[in-house]
Amino acid sequence: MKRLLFLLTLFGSSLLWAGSSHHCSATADRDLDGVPDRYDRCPNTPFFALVNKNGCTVKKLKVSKKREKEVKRILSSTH
Amino acid sequence: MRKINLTAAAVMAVLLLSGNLAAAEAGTGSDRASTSEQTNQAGGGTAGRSQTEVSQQNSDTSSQQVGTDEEKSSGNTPGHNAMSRAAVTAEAGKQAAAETATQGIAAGQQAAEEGMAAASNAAQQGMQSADEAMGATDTSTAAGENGESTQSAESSTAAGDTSDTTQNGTRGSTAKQGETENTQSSETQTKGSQTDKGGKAQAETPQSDLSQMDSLIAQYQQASRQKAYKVMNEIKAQIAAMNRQQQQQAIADLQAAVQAKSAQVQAKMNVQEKAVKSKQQQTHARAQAKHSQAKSRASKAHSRARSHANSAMSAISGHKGSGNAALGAISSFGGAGGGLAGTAAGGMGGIGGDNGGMGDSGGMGGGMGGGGMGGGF
Repeated sequence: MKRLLFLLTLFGSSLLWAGSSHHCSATADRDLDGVPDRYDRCPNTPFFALVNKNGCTVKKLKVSKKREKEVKRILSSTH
Repeated sequence: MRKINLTAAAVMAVLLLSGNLAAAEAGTGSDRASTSEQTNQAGGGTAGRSQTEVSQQNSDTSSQQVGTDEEKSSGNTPGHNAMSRAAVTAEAGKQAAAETATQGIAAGQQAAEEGMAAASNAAQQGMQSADEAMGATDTSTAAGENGESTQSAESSTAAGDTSDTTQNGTRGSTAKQGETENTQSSETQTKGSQTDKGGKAQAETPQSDLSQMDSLIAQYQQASRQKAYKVMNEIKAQIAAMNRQQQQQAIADLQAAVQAKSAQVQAKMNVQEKAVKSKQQQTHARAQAKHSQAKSRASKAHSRARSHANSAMSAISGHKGSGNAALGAISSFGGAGGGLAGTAAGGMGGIGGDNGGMGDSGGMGGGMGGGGMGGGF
């Protein structure tokens, strides 16, 4: 019985978290491509990729892999 | 002895058939006849009764006088004179009664015609007012229904206006922003083309201007959703050309700008949603208030129309009652005429009785008329 109550509480809190995160992601832009996640068809494009209006990659900028890794690290640490 | 008896009988006859008694009775009959005239002119059933009584009394008096004359037919002069005066008085009474009956019948017919005309007019007016009242009821009911439908239409229209306004406002702001963004993007494209032209040089020379980065970030914050990705492409190109330290700073600034833009868009959305909700609530409240007002107006109009219709129906029933009263007056006059005619010529009394049976008070007159006829015979 206690286990059932615990599971129900966990399920309710997860629902609340999902709702709040969904509300936050409505206008957020996690991949920093200029297209909000709500309208982004490719929400995880790399930082040095030029995108179209749907947020999908159309061109990749020429950057060294070392620089690319550094930017990834910066973005993951700050996000 | 026989002479004494004859003398005594003659004295008794003289005393019994003294002309004063007959004349007094005849005079009383004529007076009552004149009284019956007045009573007939005054009105229906009572006139019939009084005339009938007069005729009965006249006939009784005449019969008594005739009987007295017969008793006094032994040739006494005063008795004969009294008999003749009584006969003359009776004839005068009959003529007066006949005239009175004729006048009463004419007056009764005229009064009945007038009463019927008045009753028909009143009934027509009552029916007209009832029709108007029913029309008012229908109109009020229709007004109530229309009011409800109009209110719903108004509320829907108001809701539509609100939504249109909101949409227009959103579109307008979007269009303005779009124009601004178009201008900015064109500027950005111009700058981007310049950057592309010298892109390799910039990439080769990582000392890019951070102030240019700041301007690009400002453009991104003001750009619309449709144009933001273009500005972001320019920013990425700029960042790609920076050195490591500049990249870190630029990425931090870019993340802050993106978060700020996200919060700004979210705040705008919240404000717009609140405005739409408040407008919808206001519209709903106004529609509800109008609906309640229209309901109260419709109920008031309905109650007024109902009371008007009830009064009209009561007026119709009253006019019907007056019409029946007029018919009763006709019958009563007929009865009076019949009764008097029964006195004048006995056969007419039966007709008067039949006609008198048509009305309430006329029935009384007819019955009395029949009695008078019987007395006459």
